Amino acid sequence: MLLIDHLSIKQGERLLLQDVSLAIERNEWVCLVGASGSGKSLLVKSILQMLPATLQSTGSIFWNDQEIEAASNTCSIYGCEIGYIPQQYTTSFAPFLTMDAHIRDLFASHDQAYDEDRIRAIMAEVHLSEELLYRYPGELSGGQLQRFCLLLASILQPKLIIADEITNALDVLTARQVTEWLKAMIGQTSSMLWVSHDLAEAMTYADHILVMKDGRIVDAGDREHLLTSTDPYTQSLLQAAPVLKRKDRLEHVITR
Amino acid sequence: MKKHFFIICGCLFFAVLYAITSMADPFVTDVTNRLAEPSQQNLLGTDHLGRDIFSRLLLAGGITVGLSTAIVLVTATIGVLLGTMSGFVYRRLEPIVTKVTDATIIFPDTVLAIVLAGVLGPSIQSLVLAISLIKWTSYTRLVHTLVLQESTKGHVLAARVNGLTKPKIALRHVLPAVCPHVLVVMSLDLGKVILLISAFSFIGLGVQLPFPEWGGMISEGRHYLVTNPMLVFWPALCIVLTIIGSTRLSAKLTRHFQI
Repeated sequence: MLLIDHLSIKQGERLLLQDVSLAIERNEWVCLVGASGSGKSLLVKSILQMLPATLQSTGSIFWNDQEIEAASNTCSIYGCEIGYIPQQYTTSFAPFLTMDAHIRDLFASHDQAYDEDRIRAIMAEVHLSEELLYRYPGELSGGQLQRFCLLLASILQPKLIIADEITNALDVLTARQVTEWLKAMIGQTSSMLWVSHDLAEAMTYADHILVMKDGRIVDAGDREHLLTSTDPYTQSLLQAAPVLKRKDRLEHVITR
Repeated sequence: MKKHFFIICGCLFFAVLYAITSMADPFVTDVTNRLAEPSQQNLLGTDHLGRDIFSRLLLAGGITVGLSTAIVLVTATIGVLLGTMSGFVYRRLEPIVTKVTDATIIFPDTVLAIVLAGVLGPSIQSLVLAISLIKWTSYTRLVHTLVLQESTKGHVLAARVNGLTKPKIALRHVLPAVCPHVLVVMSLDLGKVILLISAFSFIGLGVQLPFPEWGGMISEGRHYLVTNPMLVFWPALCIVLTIIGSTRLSAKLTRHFQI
């Protein structure tokens, strides 16, 4: 569905992303793990065609066998086929538009009729009351804004959702709630590219995990593969997540 | 406070209405009644040709404020359109727009406007064209810079990722954030343009006779500055009050939009 083929990104002579290739299949949950500055968000930006003009990229990104280019027709892919949940959810809404206006704009941009029933259903699932629709972003809490981000990313039932470190600022319970809700939804229709620096979280939910370091994918595979990986960076990540040191404890995490 | 405001506005409205319906024709000359003292017929007296000063002040106010409002509106609209197009919607325009605005900005704007008005010939149309030709660049630069700032904001990026088209993002996400800044500058510019129009009329390049204009009235009255200083005082007071008004409006807008 999404294929990245030998993608490299440079800023002048500095290589920020080096020969990255990956594929995401239908209904697959892929997790991108790595420390801050490893190039995870840059990779996401390149998928979303949001790279700053100062960066030069080589390689290709394909969506359903068609190359994504920074052309105007790609507007129809984003929001509709690829949903994005940003890291900075507090600044993701225009302060002078109500939440309802944001949702209406999204529907209108993809020539779809405003589906009140679907909105109500998702709002109920993410525990948002209907009256919040008519409020401005400044009148909502951080948690409510994040749930509206989830709503916007999923309302048009995209085939792929990209979540960029969305549980970073959440308490453990809310983070778990959000992840579980997304997992349930992804299971139905969509694939997920989950960006995180938490290997434990990745091990718990992902079908396929990619480990990034210094702009390169240094390791990739499923949970079993990573647990037995000989890559020194993956080893150090496993060491840093004490709960994953033993396989039996990992199983405890997964079945929890 | 609000109640008092409406009462004052109401009184002013009726006073102006009374004055307009009963005042003398601002164009009619009466040399037998020249430089007359204020009276019931001529509330502020008459000028050197016996024309009613009050009615000429009101008409000049309409012309000056109307012209400056039109100039500010037109130049700001051009600036908003070009700034938004070059800064966000159609970035290929950016080098052209930036170079043209840079080339215009390096000239002192008042001098350039005087040269343009001189070349085009003294008339209202030349005045409007000359001031508009120098003013649009500052709005374009301002809007271009603000649009560039806004386009990096999270909600604009989120809108792009949600598939909104660039014109729609510009209308819904960028311009609402840019417009308050432009409105504040417009209100400040209103005073500047009024001063510019008056200066042009004072040197004979602006509004031409028989139409009254505050700068032109000062120019006519300066010959009688010693014997009849009120001929200069009233139009000068009008200019000062209008500029103070535009400055206060700008301050109020700044507070209102919390810029």
